[in-house]
Amino acid sequence: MDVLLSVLDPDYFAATIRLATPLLFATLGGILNERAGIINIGLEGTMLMAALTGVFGAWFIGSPWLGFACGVLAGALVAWIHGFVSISLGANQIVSGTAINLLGLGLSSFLIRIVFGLKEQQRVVPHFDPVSLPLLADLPLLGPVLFHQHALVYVAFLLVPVLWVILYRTRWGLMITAVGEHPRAASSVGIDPLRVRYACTVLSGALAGAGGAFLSLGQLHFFQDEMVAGRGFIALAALIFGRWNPIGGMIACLIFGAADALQFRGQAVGLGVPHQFMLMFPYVLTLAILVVVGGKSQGPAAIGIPFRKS
Amino acid sequence: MPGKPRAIHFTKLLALPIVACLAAGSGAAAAEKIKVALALPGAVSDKGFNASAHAGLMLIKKTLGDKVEVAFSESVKRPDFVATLRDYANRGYNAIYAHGFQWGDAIAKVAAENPDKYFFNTYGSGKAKNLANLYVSFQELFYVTGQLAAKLSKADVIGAVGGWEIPPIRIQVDAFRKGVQAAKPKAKFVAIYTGTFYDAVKGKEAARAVISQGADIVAHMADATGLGVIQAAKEKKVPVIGYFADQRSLAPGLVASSAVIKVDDMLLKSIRSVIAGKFNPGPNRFGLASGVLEVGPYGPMVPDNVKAEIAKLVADIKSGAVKVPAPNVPALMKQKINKL
Repeated sequence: MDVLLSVLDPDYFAATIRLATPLLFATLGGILNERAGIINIGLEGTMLMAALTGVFGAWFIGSPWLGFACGVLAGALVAWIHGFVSISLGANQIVSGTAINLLGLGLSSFLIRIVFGLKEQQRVVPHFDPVSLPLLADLPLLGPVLFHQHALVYVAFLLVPVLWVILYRTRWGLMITAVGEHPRAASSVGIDPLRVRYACTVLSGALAGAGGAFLSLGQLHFFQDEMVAGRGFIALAALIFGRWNPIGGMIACLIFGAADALQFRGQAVGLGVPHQFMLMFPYVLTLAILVVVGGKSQGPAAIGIPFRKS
Repeated sequence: MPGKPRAIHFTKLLALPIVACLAAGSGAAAAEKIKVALALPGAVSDKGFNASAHAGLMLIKKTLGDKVEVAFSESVKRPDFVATLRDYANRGYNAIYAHGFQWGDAIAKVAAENPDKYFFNTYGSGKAKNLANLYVSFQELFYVTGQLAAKLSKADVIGAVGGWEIPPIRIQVDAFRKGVQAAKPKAKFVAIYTGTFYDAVKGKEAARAVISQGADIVAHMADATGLGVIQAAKEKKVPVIGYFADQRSLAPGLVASSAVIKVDDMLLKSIRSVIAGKFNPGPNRFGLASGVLEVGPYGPMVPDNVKAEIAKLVADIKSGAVKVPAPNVPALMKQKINKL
């Protein structure tokens, strides 16, 4: 019991939120994209490119916020490529997404070496530091956990209700859902499915880009090859687990962050569980949850099917 | 590291095995020229395992100049191991290196086919009359850095973050732990394996977890994951012990020292053994005494008396007065990680 208590300190919960944030950005992006009927498995590569561009932006402009903006723009741009290939050209979305992932891996490593060079690759750039919200940060327990985080953490969690309202309470949300479920029907009532899909794809890339830039500017403060390390794929699992709903997605990301934070603390305090189990814990948990709740979860009907105007 | 099972690098798809002939082909003049070839399982730009062997080849080229001609193949996949080595042998390369234990069978086979040529395998265990297996005695160096960390800790809690839990990393972490215990038997040792060599964000979280358990000095054995460890140490103002190279530049004022592993020096020494006619087939071990392993330059927080104690320990290990036994790897791998 003592061991368990020493795991569950405020720092543990703070770590949970820190680890969940980049996932959350990417998950929200994925939700938006898939609800419009476009699968984006290129989230990983998009995040990687944004992490890199964020570092470049912060270094050359000298401001973490402008660096972050560069990362978001880069994410949007990469997603636009995905959009062009899969929406305008009607190519297979999985293939396009895979290509984006390969491109992101190769291109980001290549560019960092060209611009910073191998020796100075881990150059620390202007970055985000945790911000204490006045008064709230002084609350016992909750204060350091919830209100002493990077500014971007608040942005990510504020985006959850925003996206929820857009999707479920506005005309735009209805349009997006219509395009994802039955683009031809949407088209017949005057919605342009291609435009809606483009907009959602580009916005989704921007959100994934925010996640990537958070990793580099909020967490590491430098760029390292392959630093996204599969988080883009975990975001895909989170959005399915969350049933394409921003709130569900957030819960999934928090569970994943909690499991990830637990494995390190479990090892550190010596829970007595083999560490291999600790390492796989987040993934096993994801699988288990998908098995339990996955039965009824069903994505948009027209997902993955290119739309052509007849 | 004997062939870290790294995750698939997609970048490697772009960098299909390239054979780079680096020396100009003016070989006619020097009759006794040694043609050195190196085969690598990964990309030379990894700043760790593969880069270290590539640096060795470059050192050979730089130091021996006209006496050698060098070439290498990177990102060679397992099915191509034998063909790659055989190709070098057929093209007249007479000192052929393969990097990583996974080459053991392939290189033993090709060595047996070419008895007039010299073969070297880092961390390998293949057997042939003309095959030398090169080993780094990690345990000596990490025993010393463990003692250093314990001596610098005021809270008597020492942390370590490892990469993938493969034999060389286990050996390093275990030797480090033994060093800690030798210096301070009552000290607490907290180790975390991250299961990755390239996820710096994970390394940072792992280091934070170690530090939140009270560790006031952290060592890493995790290549690029370790870069995140250093980043966390910087934020929490906790001294850190670097890995593979002198890492002071990554956290100025906070790197207490680094466990420096000079694979390049090991390769140079081995090729010199060929030139001197002292080629030694079978296992060749390189420890502190060989100069391949080194306690890196100290940071400002290391007091002079500790420096002197560490210098004496290193001298004692070199002279054999202090013995650091080679680890029993199968037993070590079975041992629970946090059972100390």
